[in-house]
Amino acid sequence: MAVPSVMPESPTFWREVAASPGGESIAACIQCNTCTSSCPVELFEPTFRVRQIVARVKLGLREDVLSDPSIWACTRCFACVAHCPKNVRPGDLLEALRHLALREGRQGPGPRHARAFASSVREDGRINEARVTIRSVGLGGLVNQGALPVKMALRGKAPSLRRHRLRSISEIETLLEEESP
Amino acid sequence: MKYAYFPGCVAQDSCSELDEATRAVAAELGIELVELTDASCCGAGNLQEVNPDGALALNARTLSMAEAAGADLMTVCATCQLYLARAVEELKDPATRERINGKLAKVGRTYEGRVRVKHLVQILLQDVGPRKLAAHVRRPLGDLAVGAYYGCHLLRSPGTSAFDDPEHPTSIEHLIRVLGGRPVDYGGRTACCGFHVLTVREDLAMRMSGKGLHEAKAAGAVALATPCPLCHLVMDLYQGKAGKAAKERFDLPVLHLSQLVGLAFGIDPAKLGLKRHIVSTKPVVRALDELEVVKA
Repeated sequence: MAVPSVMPESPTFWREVAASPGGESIAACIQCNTCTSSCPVELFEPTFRVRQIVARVKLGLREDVLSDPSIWACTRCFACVAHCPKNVRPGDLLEALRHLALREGRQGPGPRHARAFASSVREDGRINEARVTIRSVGLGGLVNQGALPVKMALRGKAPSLRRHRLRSISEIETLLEEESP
Repeated sequence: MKYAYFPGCVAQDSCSELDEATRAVAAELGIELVELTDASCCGAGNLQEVNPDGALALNARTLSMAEAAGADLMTVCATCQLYLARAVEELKDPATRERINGKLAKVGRTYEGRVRVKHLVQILLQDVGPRKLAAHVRRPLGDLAVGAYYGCHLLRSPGTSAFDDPEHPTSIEHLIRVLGGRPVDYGGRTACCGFHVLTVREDLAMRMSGKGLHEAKAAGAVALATPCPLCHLVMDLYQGKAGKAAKERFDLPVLHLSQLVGLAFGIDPAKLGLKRHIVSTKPVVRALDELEVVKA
């Protein structure tokens, strides 16, 4: 008799998450649902359930979780971190998941924005809003903003296109160098 | 009173009016601001996801600059406040501090763990204090119905419980009262604006910010005051789009808290950058002018 396929593809996925900054306390989760109940995203998108994401990690559904665009719908409000009775820090755990997704080169609007942001910091030490926005949403995305960029320019509110690189940018480069394992 | 001033990226770029207003208010209160012109971005969560250790090292570098200046750090952005205050907490662990100091040594810096990170709200309420603040109010806000818009990160920042209840905050309403105004109570005041998914899920951010704007408007607010330029960007820049999603016209000016304080201090609105908003702030300035006329 064929055994129904409920075998997790990566039963030790949770250990990998526990070893990433933010995911350390995953083992303490009792699936009480306080996180989902606190979540402002869930109010607007009932399919976004933080508790279920944690459960899927524990079930070893690695590919399913890391390829899920919903890990990028979290607004980082950290209400779940404030309310979790077991101090699992679910919002930080989601940061750890996004870190793992980024580390293995996953694509999509979320990873694209995170990388655009990090590149701006690496290049200038600070964020250049115009460049980050264009790199995150592309020129097509910019066109979708309609008259907003024009309105911003008229009010003197348009972010500068000029680079404002820190004088000590070499310090930033040094500090952002990844340590070789 | 002296602080190492960390305006953050946005107050030095699209929200430079926040920086202007903050400097004007600090000057009025005699607060000395030590410039950290070479400080980096706080990472805002994005850098933390791409390179967690690098992000902590950058924030430790910023803290080391404040420490060298012998001052606590002042922020005017809730997200900067959260990630820098989190760095302070993480760096309290001796092993973490040693590891990060190993990195800082390569750029000739060190952080000993002596810096506190304070948002302007805390500085105004605790370090300046309501009495001294009130003494500087030359144009009380009167009946101007202002809604506090806290957003998330100020409330979730480690250390916030030292000056407010993160679950039921009152600090900004308290400030509005000290400025002679009338705070409006509404449900959305602690809601999330959705900024951090703006480029990824704009639809979601619009529904989230629209709910807050709707609730403020329904409660009778004629303006919002926020301690975060990122909330400001969503609530002001994108207010039209949020309105479309909600099928409602909000016309609700969203002031930076520093601007509201500056107005009550009687600082010239031109010096507070009130024209650099997408939603016109004229109704606020006009209402305050009328109050002045009534008083005279």
